[in-house]
Amino acid sequence: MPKIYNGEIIENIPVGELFLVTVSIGESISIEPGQFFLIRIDREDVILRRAFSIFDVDEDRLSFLYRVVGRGTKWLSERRIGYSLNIFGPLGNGFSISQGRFLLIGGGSGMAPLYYLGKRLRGDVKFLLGAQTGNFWGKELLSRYASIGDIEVVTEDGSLGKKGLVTEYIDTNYDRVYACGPIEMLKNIRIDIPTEISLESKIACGFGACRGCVIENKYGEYKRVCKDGPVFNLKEIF
Amino acid sequence: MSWSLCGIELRTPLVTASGPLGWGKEFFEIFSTRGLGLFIPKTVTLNPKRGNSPPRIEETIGGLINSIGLENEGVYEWLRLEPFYRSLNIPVMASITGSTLDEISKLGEIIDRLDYIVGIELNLSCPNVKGENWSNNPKSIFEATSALRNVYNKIIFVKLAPKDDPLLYIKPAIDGGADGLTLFNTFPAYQSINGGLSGPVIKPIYVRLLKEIVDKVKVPIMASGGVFSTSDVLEYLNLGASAVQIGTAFFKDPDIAEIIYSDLKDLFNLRK
Repeated sequence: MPKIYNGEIIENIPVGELFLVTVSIGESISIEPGQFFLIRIDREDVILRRAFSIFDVDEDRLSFLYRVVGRGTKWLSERRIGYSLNIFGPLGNGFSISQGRFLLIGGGSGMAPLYYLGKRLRGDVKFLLGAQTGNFWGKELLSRYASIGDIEVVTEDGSLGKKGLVTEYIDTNYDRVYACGPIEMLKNIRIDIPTEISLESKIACGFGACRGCVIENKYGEYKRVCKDGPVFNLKEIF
Repeated sequence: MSWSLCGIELRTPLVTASGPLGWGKEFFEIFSTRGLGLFIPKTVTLNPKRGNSPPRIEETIGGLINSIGLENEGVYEWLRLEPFYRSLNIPVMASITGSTLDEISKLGEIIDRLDYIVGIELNLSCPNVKGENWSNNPKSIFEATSALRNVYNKIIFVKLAPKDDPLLYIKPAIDGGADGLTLFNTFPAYQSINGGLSGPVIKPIYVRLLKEIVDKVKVPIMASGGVFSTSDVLEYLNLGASAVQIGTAFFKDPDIAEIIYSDLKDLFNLRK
C-alpha cells in the first residue's frame, strides 16, 4: 500500500546530464521495478508533486535518477544532504518479473527504471541505451548498468557507441523486451516478442482517482498512466 | 467541536471538493477520513461520459488547469458503491449534473431513494463541457434547480461558477429551491489547454466575490477555491462560510484534511 514517507536526502549528485538523489525512509518496503513515487516540491507556486520511477532500492534507501526539465526538478536538484523530502508511493503497476533472456531499452532519462528492473530479473540482461550525445550518461552511470548486464549504447551524434537511434539496433533474440523513453522511440519498436513499456504523463493524484493523466490506447480507451500503468504492454498501446 | 450544514451534523468543517478524489474508492483505500466532515464524490451523470481527450492537466504558476470533462461511468455504476459509502464513517453528499433538465430530474429521482446519501450538490458549473454550463444563465440555473427540487426531498447545494455580480446567479438558485450554495467552481482559463483553474492563485478572486455577497445571502455556503492551508480555511470561515471545500490541495498533500484539522483543533481548544 502506498504511503507518505519522509525521505532524508543522503546524496543528490549530478551524473552526466542527469541527477541521482538517494533518500533514506527509515524502513525497508516492498517496491516493484517500474513503480513510481510522487515527490512533493516545497514551493508555494508549485502544485503538483513530480513523478519519478524507482531507480534503485537498497534496504531503506531509495534512489531516483532524474533530469532537470523545469521548476520542480530544478528545485529538487538544489536540495542538500539532510533535507527531508516528502515522498508518496510506491504507486502504479510495475514490470513483470520472470526468468529468461531480456532486452532493456532506455531512451534518454527513460533508462531510470531499467536499473532496478535489471537487478531483479533472473537470467541474461542486456541494456540498449540511447541519448543525443555520449556526455548524457557519465562514465560512472554506464559502469553501474554494465555491472548487472551487457550494455550497448547508441548516440544520435555518434560521439559514443553506435550512431543513430536505439530503435535501429533492436535484435529479437530475447524472451521479453522492456522499454522506457520518448513516445516516438516507443512507437518505433516494431517487434513480435512480448514488450512492456513504461509511459509518462503529467500526474496529479497518482492513485487513479482524478483521471488527469489518461492516455488513449489503440482501442480508443482512456487508460490512467498512474493506476493502469505506468507499465503497459506495447501491443495494447500502439 | 461540531459543525452543521443545513441540519447535517459534520464532525469537521472540511469537505472534499467534488472531482480530484474521484468517487472515493481509490483514495480511501490509502487514506482515512480523518479530518474530513463530508465527502462529495466526483460528479455523476446519468449515462457514462468519456471525458475530454488528453492532455487534461496543466500546471500554472500557483495553479492547476484541468479539463477532465466529467469522465465517469454513469449513475448505475456509481450506485454499486453503496456498500463502500455505507462503510465510510462520514456523511456522503452526491454531486450530479446533466445536459438536460430531464437528466437532472432522473438523477434526482434515483438518488432520492438512497438513504446513505445526505444531499445533492448540483454542479451547474463544470467549465470543461461544451453546452452544459448552466451557470452562465440565471434562467437556466433556476430551471435546473427547480427540476431537481421537484423530485428530490433532501438537501440541495447548487455549485456555481465564479462570475461578476454573483447575486445575479445566486438568486435563481435559491428561488429554484437550493438549501445552500457551493461557491465557486474553478475559473475558466487557458495555458496550453482550455480548462478550469484551481489552486492558491484563484483564492484572492474568490474571497473578493464572497465578500460581496456573504451578507446578502441567508443560506449556508460551502466555500471552495484555493484552500491549501489552515489560514485559508479560517479566512473562509471568518467570512461566513459554513464549511470549506478542499480540492486541488489533495494533490500536494493527500493528507491535507488531517493536517488542517489537527491545526483547527489546537486553535479552537486554545480559545475555549
